[in-house]
Amino acid sequence: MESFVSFENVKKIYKSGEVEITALHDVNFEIEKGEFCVIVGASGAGKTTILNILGGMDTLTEGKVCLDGQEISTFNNRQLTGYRRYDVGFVFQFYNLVQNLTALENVELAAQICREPLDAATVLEQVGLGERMSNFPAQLSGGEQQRVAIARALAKNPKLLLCDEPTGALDYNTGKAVLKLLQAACRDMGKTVIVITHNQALTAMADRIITVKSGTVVSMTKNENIVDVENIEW
Amino acid sequence: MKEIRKSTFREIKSSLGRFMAIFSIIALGVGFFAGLKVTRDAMVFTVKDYLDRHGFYDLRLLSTLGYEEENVQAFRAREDVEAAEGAVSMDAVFQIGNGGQSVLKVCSLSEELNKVELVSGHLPAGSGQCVVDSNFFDESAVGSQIRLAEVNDEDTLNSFTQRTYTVVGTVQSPLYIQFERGSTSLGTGRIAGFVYLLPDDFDLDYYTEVYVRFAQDNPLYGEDYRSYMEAKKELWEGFSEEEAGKRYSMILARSEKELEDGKQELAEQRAQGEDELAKGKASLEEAKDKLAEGEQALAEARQELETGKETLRKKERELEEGKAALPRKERELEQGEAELDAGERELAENRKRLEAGRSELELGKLQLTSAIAELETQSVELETQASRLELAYRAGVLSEADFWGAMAQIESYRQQINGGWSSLTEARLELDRSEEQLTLGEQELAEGERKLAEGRQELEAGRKALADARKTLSDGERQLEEGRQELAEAERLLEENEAELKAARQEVTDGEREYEEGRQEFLEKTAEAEESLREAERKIADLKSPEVYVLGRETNIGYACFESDSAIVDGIANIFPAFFFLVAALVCITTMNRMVEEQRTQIGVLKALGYGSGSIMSKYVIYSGLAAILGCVCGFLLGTWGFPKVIWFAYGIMYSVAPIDYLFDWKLAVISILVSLLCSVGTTWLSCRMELAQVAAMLMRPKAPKAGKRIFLERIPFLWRHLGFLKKVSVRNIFRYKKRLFMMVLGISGCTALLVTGFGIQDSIADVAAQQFEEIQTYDLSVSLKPDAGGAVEQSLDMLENSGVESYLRVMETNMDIVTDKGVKSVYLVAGEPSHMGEYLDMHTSAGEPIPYPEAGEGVITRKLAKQYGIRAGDVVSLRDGDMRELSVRISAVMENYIYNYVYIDPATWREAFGAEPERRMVYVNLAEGADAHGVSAALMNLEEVSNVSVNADTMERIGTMMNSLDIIVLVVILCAGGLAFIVLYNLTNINITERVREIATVKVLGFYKKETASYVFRENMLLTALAVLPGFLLGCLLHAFVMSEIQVDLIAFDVHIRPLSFLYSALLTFAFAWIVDRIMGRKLEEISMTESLKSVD
Repeated sequence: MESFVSFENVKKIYKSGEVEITALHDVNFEIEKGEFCVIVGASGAGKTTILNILGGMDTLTEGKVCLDGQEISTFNNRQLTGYRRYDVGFVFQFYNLVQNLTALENVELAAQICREPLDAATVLEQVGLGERMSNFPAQLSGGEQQRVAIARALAKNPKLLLCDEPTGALDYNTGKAVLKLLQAACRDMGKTVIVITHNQALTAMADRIITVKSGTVVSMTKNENIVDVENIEW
Repeated sequence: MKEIRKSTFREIKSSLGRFMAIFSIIALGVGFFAGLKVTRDAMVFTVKDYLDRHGFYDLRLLSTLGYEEENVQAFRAREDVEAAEGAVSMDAVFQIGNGGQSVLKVCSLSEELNKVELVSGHLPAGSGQCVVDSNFFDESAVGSQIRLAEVNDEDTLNSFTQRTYTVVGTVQSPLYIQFERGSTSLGTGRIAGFVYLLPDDFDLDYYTEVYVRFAQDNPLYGEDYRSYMEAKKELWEGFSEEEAGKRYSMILARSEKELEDGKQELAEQRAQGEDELAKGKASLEEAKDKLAEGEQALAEARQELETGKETLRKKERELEEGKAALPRKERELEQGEAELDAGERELAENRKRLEAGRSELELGKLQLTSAIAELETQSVELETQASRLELAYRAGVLSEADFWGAMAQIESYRQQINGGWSSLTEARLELDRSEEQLTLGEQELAEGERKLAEGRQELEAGRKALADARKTLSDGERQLEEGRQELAEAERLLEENEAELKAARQEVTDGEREYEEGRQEFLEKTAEAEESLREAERKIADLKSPEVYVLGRETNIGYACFESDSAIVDGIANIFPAFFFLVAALVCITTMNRMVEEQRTQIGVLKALGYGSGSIMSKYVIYSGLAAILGCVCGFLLGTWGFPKVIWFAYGIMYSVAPIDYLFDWKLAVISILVSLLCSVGTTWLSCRMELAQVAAMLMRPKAPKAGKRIFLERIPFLWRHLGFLKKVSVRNIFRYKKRLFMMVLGISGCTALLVTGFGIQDSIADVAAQQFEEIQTYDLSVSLKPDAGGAVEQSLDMLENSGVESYLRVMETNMDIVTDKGVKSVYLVAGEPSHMGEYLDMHTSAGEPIPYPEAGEGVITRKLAKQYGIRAGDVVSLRDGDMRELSVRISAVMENYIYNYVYIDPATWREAFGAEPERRMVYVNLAEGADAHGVSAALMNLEEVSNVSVNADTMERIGTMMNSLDIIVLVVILCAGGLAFIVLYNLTNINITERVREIATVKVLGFYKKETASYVFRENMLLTALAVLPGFLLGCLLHAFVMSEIQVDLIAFDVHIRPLSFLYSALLTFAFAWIVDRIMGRKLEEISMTESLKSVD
């Protein structure tokens, strides 16, 4: 089976004035469809750059990135926007909800621009926020906000769920709940989920673990011994 | 501290947009404030400078007797006098080129005071030259001539040394800085322009006025000047009276002397006249005598002539007879000649015959002679022979027979010869006979010849006699001709003499008449002279002690109007800037608020590091203060330079003065700086104070974003549900930040209001001319007639019907002063036939209701006049003419009118008041559809009685062009509005975007296309713009009404209104500004990196 996501010799150089900074080099990895993948690395290792590229938010300098047979690395801006719109669901560290919209509306904001969105209210119920749909973000706790964010990502019915430190701003228990939700999305809904984190502990729950260090992938392992979220400690 | 300053400058560099926003709004506000505020001062300053340079007077002294040079010198010697100069001015009607007649104010050129400024050409160099009003004449007038019209009265004409003046230049006069030239009792009542002559071109021995200028430098229109002048005026009234008194006694003395001289002269002239009359009579008598003599001589000559004529006739007859005899004689002569010729011919024939006979005779004689000779020969021979035979016989040689035979023969021969002899004798006889006959014939011939010669002689004699007769005849004829000529000559001479005599007779008659006339004249003149002497005596007796007038500058139209006109700008300057500063303060407060909020963490860190509030705040104070000071300086310089220039340009329509001077007003500059610092630093201090009150730790924690809230609209599900999802977001966003909403609405509505005002000003002003001439004064031409125009002009007008004159009406249109307790105002008084006025004038109220033409004793007054002097229908007003005669009318209605002030009355009202028919010297003309107004105008100008024709369409166009310069003001307003809208929108959008960077980045990450992102953000702008337009309209109406009430132009009543289209334009322009800002900000939106979404809240 061909891999769902693939990075081939990806290189990214940032230029600021005279200075060139190589953020990524020789990045190679593959992720299969329906996998729960964790990309782990320390601050500045390059994982955010990978996320940006994979999320269609940034371009690469060299190499090839494919998702579901599409070669993203050749996309222009408009195609990239379409890609973000239809193929990728984002979950941010700081939720990035629109403050002026209720939970439901935040989900709708994403859903209404997609081709085959899931029903916003249903998704919210699925993430356990059926009661709080008409609340504004400010009236929700961090975990709830993140759940809204996940609902927003799921409602788009994307091929890929990209999560950037989804638990970074949450306390331990809430973080776990969120991770559970993500895992459920992967297991129950069959989404390919990629979680980017510096938290080594999270690797235990992943199908695939990609370790990034100093701008390149140092290891990519299939986790044979998947641990349930409940049992992860950090 | 150094670091903080460094950080400040870096901050400016990195957030130039924000810095520029504060800079611009302050610049705009200060520019508007300082620019408008300084404009009046700059205008007044410029005018003062202009007036000072041209030596504008402080006092104008008039006296009913005028002043003399002596008086002027006395004035000059008074205290504080910088200059005093006598001048002459009077109104006169001039014929300008080949065009119409106009009333011009004629002034003397002065050296020190009220000096004119040359616009083109040169100043008069000698008598007969003049310079003219550059407002009324254009440059092409230089070189042309103006002529004093015959309609001027004797006194006026006598006041000038010349009748015709050559224009050598055009000038501006400080006495007329405005377009208004004043009124007069001449012509149409309106002075068209002025003309300056050299003082020597006036034939006056006094000055009509004296101008005085004091050595003082008080500001124009200021209280200082007013009080200074009040004191002076009081003082100078005394001086004037004193000098006028001197003048009075001088005149009196001179007049008395003149009277004495006059009397003496009269006596002398009377003596002389009588003497001349006597002489005339004597010479007349003499002439009469001569005439009688001449007549007698003539009669004699005529007699002689008759005799001569008779003689001539007799001679003529004789000659005729002689002439008749001549041909007969000629014929006889001719006959005689013919006979003579025939005789000659016969004679010649006879001669020929005679000659032939003679030659025959000769021949016969010859033959006879030869025959004789032969016979003799033969006889000799026969004798010889006979002798020889005898011999021979004797000798016997010869037989006797032979001999006798031979002798017989000889004997026959002898016989024969004897026979020959006898025939010969016979022939000779015959010959002699014929010779005799011949000789006879010859004798006869000779006789005939002689007779012929005699006949010829006779003929010659006859011919000669004929020639003689002819000569005699022609001589006679010549003599006759001569005689005839002589006679004709004599006749001519006679006739001449007769004519001479007739002339002489006429002369004598003329002489008699002349003499009679001369005598009459002499008597009359003497009487007249006596009368004028008596008059002079009376005058001396009547000579009143003079009245004096001491007039200040406020009586000069231009000077006075400028005060009120320039005050308009001040009025506007008070409201606009306040508005701009309010917006500026709001812009500063939101901008600095946002800035401080953005930098919470940094403030917290600095605080944690131990910096005091003051030094932390200094960064923001310096930031905003610097922007404000820079903006203030820029705005101040641009505003104080640009506004006066633009407004002065617009005033140029009315005032012809030098270009405006730049005026730097320190006080204003300080105020501007203070206000702008208050707006910027003050608001900064407010923003900072709130933040700095918090503890460092609190500051370093991100501020919770402002919570979302349900808005009022959501409580109306019907409306809310019908809104699109994204629109809901926008609506909610709008109401999320109340401060920003307020500011945005204020800024944008301000922009709309300015636009509405700008367009409204144009609407209210630009249409005035069109409305005046299309809706009120509907006639097409107005023709002013010369004062002496009679009824002939009506016939001429009737004749013009073919060229397009449809109808016309003669009315009286004259200048009068309306006298009210609020003041005196010059108006046009019109009296026309009530039954016809309706065709030329549409009288209606402002509401459009028709007004009937006033009846006797009533008057209709125009709107502006009514408003200005609080006159209402039912009031009684009095009107006064130049001779102080008064006329009272009851106002029956107030009519709509835009240009000039009119009072309309029935001619009967005039008749009742003054007992005379109004002088109808204005003709209103309606043209037929499609007629050429200029063609008709030209035809009318050619009429002798017409002094001027004005085509309403032209006036309309001219005023329209004048009003076009208002476009500049409108443009300035539109630019300011644009600037305001731009700064406000830009600033707020900028704040909006920076505040929502994360949200926008998130939306982008969610896959919003460029356009969707832009509309997600900018829909708010458009909504707010839409929201602000309505209050903007309202605000605009108020502002417009205010501005229009401040703009008071004399003579023009504005139709204060705003066209619906102007609202539309204002709204569209406002949206256009918003759209432009959106386009510019759209680029900024694109630059927002999506990675912003990954950052934490800072």
